Amino acid sequence: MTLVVSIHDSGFLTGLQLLPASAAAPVAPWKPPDYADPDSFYEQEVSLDGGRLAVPGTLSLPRRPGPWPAIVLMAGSGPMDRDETIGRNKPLKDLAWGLASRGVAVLRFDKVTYVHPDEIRQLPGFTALNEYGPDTGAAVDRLREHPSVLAEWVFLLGHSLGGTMAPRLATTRPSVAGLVILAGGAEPLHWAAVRQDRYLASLRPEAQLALAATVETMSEHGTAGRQPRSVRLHTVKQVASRRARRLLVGPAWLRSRRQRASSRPADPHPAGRPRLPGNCGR
Amino acid sequence: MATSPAQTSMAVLEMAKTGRFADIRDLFAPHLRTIVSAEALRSAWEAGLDQ
Repeated sequence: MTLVVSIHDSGFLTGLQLLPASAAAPVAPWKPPDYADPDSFYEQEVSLDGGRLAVPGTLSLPRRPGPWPAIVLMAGSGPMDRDETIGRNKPLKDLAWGLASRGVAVLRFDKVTYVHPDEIRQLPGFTALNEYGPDTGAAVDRLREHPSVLAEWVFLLGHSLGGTMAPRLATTRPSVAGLVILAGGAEPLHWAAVRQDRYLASLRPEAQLALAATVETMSEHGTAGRQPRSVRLHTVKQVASRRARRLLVGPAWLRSRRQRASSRPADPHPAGRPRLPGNCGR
Repeated sequence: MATSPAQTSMAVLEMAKTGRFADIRDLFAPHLRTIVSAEALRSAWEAGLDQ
């Protein structure tokens, strides 16, 4: 068994996790995917300023002559870097290199919660829209201004919470040509909470009784199509508490949960603008 | 706290092995401490050992 201890600069614990012994083995470095051709594109460091706190990013540009279509990549929940690094995995870097190899300009950036965690923590009422909106908008504008990018062919791709937020962000940038949503939330939060909790309960039969009342209460509200504030808050608290009991505690995760609770469900076809072409899948 | 992350980690491990879960809880950041109970830590630790 491996005990993973997360410690803030202040010295306080921010997370504990129990993992299999294999988790302590050295992690192999990231390798480019087979579909990427590093000789077919180059990368530039950029800075995005959405009017608040600047974040750095990487612009991947094809070597083939333009003009090119372009896409902005949005990472999932938590303080993710531009590659969405998780262990040895860098899924957004995989995508960026693969797309750039095929003639698509790609811009990915470190999330503001990754670059400026202390400043963000001091902001009252900070939501997922605040977390994604300014920098994603700045990224779209940066691509549209590039002389070799087709300004009317700039897309948004979001993974997980990034995918959940993508439709809302598209409402603030009518120039966005389309969306790619990878495992984004496609149902209201309280429905997702019921589904996830039922799944978690199924993994631990001994906990099913304890969870049954909560899940059924949530389910009743969910199937009735209502989303009362009390249920949303209850859900966040209960889920966070259960995660804590499983030794999976972290401020980033909790923050993302709160942000999700403050968000409306995703609408892949935002009102007030034509239907966007998009792909959504898990 | 003057201890290094390595020292803190070893202290957490020793606390868990000796059942001092309330002491572990007290090492959490204040905003997390309210949702991490000593009993929850004990339960998770024992569940991990059983696997």
